[in-house]
Amino acid sequence: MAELAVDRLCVSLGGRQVVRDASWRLRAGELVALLGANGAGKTTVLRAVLGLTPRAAGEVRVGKDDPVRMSPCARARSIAYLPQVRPLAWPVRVRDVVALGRFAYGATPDRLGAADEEALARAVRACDLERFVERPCTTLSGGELARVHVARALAADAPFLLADEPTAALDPLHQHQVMQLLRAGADAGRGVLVVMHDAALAARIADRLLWMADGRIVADGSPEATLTPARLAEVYGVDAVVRRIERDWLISVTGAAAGIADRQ
Amino acid sequence: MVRNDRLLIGLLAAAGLAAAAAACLLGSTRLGVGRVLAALVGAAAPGDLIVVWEIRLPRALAALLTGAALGMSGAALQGLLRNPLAEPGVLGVSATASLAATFVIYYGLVQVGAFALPVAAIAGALAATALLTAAAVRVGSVLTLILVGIGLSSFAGAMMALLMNLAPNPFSLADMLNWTLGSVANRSFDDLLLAAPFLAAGFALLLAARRDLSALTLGEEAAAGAGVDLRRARRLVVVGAGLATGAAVATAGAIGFVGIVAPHLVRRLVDHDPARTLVPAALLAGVILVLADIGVRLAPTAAELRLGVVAALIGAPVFIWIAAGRRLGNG
Repeated sequence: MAELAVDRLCVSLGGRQVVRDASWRLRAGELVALLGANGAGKTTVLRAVLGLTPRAAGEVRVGKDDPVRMSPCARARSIAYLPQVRPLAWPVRVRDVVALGRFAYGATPDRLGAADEEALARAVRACDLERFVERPCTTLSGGELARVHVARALAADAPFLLADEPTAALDPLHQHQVMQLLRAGADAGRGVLVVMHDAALAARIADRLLWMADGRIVADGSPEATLTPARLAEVYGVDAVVRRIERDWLISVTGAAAGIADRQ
Repeated sequence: MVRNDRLLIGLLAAAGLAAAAAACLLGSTRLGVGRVLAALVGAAAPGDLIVVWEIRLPRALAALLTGAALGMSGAALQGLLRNPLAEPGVLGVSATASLAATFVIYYGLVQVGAFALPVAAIAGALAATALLTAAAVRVGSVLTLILVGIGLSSFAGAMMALLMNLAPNPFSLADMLNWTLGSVANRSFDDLLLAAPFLAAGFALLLAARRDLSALTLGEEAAAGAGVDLRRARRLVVVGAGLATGAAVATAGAIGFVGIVAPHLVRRLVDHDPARTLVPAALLAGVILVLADIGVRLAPTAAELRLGVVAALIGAPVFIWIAAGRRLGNG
């Protein structure tokens, strides 16, 4: 299972084409950032890949199988999914939330096998949560809670991980921490796709940038090749100054791109 | 299973037995421990046998089973809908079930067969849970769901009032009143045997959803991502809660709020895990109803108090307390 392959994926919601002809690859060991404006279809792409949203057309392959034809648990064992964070229904312990990452292996928080315990301990250590394991999640800050969810996704030990805006609403330090955790997950051999809005952070950490506008993948490549003022105008509708300083990128938005101001 | 959970379940089961034993001992006819024990093993005077085997024991078991059904249904619905205020009574499931049962009484369909009553109550409960879950899936807002439940409850109440209004004679009126108020008086082992298969099926389905309920703590999207088959989970809980609640209503009429109170009391003892709440909540709700029914029997009132009335008097304030204590933005 070295590759997650998406070919000519189309999705319609309420009679509107939300995703058109999206094709991309996610390989083991790489971190890819999916960038695009609100409503560009990023979340829908992830859901359609998993089969949680029905596809109008297109093919997805993990190894030989399409996630749609797998049982929910088999799919969860090959692709971990980290949706946008919603409040938890109950003030459960951090340990129990991370343990739910083992659901697809038949585990429950009160019944973990040896392999589950080991995966749980590894995820907790990787995300630096040892101090919090026995605490109810309600006592954690937003940044700490984000790490708990990443730990849950890592505990699934799936070869691929799709994360939907895991850094939303986090301060710069916690954004950086979460991205480092995902980077480490990719370096450990996973293929990680992360939806995000901070193009500069994405360019610094990701191996590849996948740009989406109006339901289409408009560019797919290294930050050097794809992060340009023209791209930012096309994808976000902004005029921006882009500078590269060694490994780092500076992006300053100077205003709405020509044509966008008139439209709104 | 965690060791603490076994201890908790053991203690609650012991409390259930103790409460049932107390129910056999206490009552208007004075029977000492010796005479009750003798009656339980069948070696007692015919009068004692009747009091224990035909009046007190079936009544205590009816209260225990009704409570268990409502407690586990409440805990499971709360887990599925991710809201501590979901409960068969509040969501109108009990009211719809007792409306269906009343219909059967009103049209004299009970003569068709003994199964007509429980089947009608269960059909009513299933219809209500299915409607609620359809609404929950479509709107996705728990507030809307509770409002739909209140609407359902009011509608069932109105229909019930209509039936009472048109009741052909005072006897059927009294019969209907029994169903709305909820009572376990005059239950026999035959009544319990009739409800037992439905209860057992309901419990089995709800327990089969244990793992899914744990994962739903994360929200539906994340739970689906983690491997939960959402449709299967919804079906298990809806049909399981419908069967259990319907059987409870067929046994005791509409009894509200135990399904909220028991899970609420148990939750912090099981680290708030919805799966681990199911069994302790069922046992505790059973104990509560047996104790409440002892109180009902011993209360020196001219007309006997109805169990459902007492349960609501205890439970409704707890409901308000939980609702008022919930933090904003928590659903």
